[in-house]
This record gives sequence, C-alpha cells and structure tokens, in this order.
Amino acid sequence: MNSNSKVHDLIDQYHQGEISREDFRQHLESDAELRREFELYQEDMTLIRAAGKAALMKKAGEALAQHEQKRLKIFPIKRVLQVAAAFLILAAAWYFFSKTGAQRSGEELFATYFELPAPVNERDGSASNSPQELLWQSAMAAYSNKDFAKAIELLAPAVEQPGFPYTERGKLFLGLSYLMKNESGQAIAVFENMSKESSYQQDAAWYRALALLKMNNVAEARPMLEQIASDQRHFKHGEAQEILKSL
Amino acid sequence: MKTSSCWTDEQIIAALSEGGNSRERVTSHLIDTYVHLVPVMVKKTGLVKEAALDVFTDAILDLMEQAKQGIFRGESKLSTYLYKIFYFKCVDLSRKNTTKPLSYPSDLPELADQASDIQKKIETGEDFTGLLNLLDQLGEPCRQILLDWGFWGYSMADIAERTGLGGSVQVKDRKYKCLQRLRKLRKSS
Repeated sequence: MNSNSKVHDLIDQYHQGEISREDFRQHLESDAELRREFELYQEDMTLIRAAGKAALMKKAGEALAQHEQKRLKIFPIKRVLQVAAAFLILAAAWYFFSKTGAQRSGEELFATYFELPAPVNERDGSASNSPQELLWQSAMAAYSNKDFAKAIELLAPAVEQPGFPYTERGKLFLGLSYLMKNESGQAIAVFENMSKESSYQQDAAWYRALALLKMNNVAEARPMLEQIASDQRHFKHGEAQEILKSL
Repeated sequence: MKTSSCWTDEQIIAALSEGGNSRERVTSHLIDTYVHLVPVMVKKTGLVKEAALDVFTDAILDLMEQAKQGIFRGESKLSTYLYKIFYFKCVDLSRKNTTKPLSYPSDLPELADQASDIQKKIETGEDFTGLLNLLDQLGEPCRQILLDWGFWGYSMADIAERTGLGGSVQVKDRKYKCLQRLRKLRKSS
C-alpha cells in the first residue's frame, strides 16, 4: 500500500505540475509499477477530458443558441424592411417593364406583322357605271395613293348606304384607313361591326387583333390571336402563333 | 469578482494556466465572447454547424492547454490567436472531413505512441457516448471530483469546498476510490 500510495502521489504531483517532466521521466524509467499506473492514469485522463469537452460543447451550443436568438431579435425589423424594400423595387421594376415592355412589344409586333392589303379595284359587272361603283373606285384610288383621309371620307358614308354593293369590303378598307390614320379605336369599331357571315371575317379578326396590339391592349388582343392561331384554316394562324410566342 | 468584460489577454492566459475556478470562469468568458465565430466559420468553410461547434470547443481546449504549457506567449492578440487555431482546424476538417475530437499535445511524447483503446474509440467516434456514460454511471460526487481535478485543475482543497467533503485529504482519498471504480467500469464495459 505504501508503494502504491507513493506511485499515486507522484502522479498527482506530475498532474499538478509540482514535479518537472524530466524528474517524472526518470521515475518512469526506473519504476515499472509507476509506468503501469501512469498508463491507467493517461486512460483516465483521456476519458475525463472527453467528458469535460462534452460539457464545454453543450455550453458552447447554448451560447450559440443565445447568440442566434439575439441576432433574430435585432434583425427582424431590419430584415422586414430590407425584404419590403426589395419587394417594392421588384414590383416597381416589374410594373415598369411590363408596361413599357408590352408597349414596345405591341408596336414592334404591329410593325412586323402588319401589311397593308392592296386595293380591290375589280368592278362589279352589274354596276360598272353606277355612282356607287364610281364612289368605290374613287375610294380605292385614294387608298392606293395613301390618301387615307379621303378614303375614310368616301367609305364611311358609303358602307351605311342601303344597297351599297361593297359594304363588307368597304368596311374592311375603311377600318384599314382608320388604322393608317392612327385612329385604332375607330378601326376596331369598324372591324367589330363587320358581319359574321362576311367573307372578310378572317381579315377583320386579324386586323382587329393587330389594331389592339398597336394600342398596347395585349389583354384583349391575346384571346383573339389565340382563336386565330387555333384555327388551322385561318390565313394568318401561323403568324398569330408567332406573335403569341413573342408576347 | 472579475466581470467577464474586463479580462485582458494576460489575465486570460494566467487564469487558463492557473486552473480551478479561474480557468472555468475564463473558459466560459471565451465561449460567450467568441461563439459568434461559429456561424462565420460555417459560412467560410462550409462545415455544418455541429461540426464547427465541435472544432470551436477543440480550439478553446487547445488554447487552454497551450496556456498551461506556456506555449502562448502573447506575441499576437489572443482573439487573433484563437481565430487562427479555429480557422485552421475548420479548414483541416473540411478538407479531410475527419478530425481528432481531442487534440491535447501529449504530456509525455515518448508515451504518445501507446494510443490506448479509449483514445482510439474517441478518435473514431466508436462508442464515444458509452464511454462518456461511464462517468455518469459513477454518479455524484465522483463525477464532479474527477472533472474538477482532471479537467478544470481544481486543487484538492477547492474540491473539498465545492463538494462539501471535508478536507483535501478526504477528497484525495475519494478521488482515488472514484478512479478505481471508473477503471472497473471501463474494464467491464
């Protein structure tokens, strides 16, 4: 027991730094019992230090949680303001680009896809020299000369006349003339007023959709274009599909 | 009693090397003061929070050991020194994805090669919780006596006062008995 007690005292002295490492090493070299006991001591210490570290880690984890909570307490208002500011900027940007983007896009699309149809000059054999035929010829001549004001002046009353032989055709060119005079609203009204049975109904739908695009009224133009695009027999269904992809 | 905000680097190092209550208090101060580095390091090195927290604790323990051995001499600011230890350990871990849970420099280099089963188990993480439970199985006051003595470096007199176990002779005797019980538990585990 004495020897054992001496061994433990030596290890305690080493543990507390009361004996120099060199002295302790000399003891280790000369004492087999001390060496055995010291190995056990090292194992004890490994375990104790690991337990100490586990306790420290728990404490560090709690300190970190507190730190994170403090940050959360400090940051909400700042963060909410940041998020609100970012949202407002994005919303403003979206509004700006959606408006201006559609405007540009609508005008560009109109410019890309609008083609002014050639005037229809063929005479109706039954009224070749009638005043209505002459009026039609004059209107088409004005239209051909890009005198759209004159064409409107002639066509607007003509299409309202009972028995006018070119009512539907007249309405189409009247609408186109309005469109060329940048009176898109008038043009749309005329196209809408065309008979559903008219052989110019496809033209009316197409130019009405383009007139709406020119006015940046994408919301109304889109369903009309979708209708045209879905109609395989429509003479502009391919173009309508292209426009829809661009919108 | 010194408040945590007025520790100078020299006082911290002195307290760490001194052991006992000073070491325990200053360690708490270091944890509270520098734990904010954990999320910083998570962001910087991509480690998960738990791993970074483990490395942070290792860095504190390294600093404690270096102060004890007089390795840290205050040539650089303690905060910088701790940050460097923590950073390099994190980088090591993120590169290797392995680390030693305990990185105490060996007290006696010539015995360092004789890595015990316990050390191996701790290093590999094998049954680590089971080993830690051994200390819990000892119950109080053994657990506190061994931690106070082995980890925090309290003197026998201080432990006697903390545990109310009479004098330092009684505590020394109790500590010896606790160690014997721990060894038995280790053997049978």
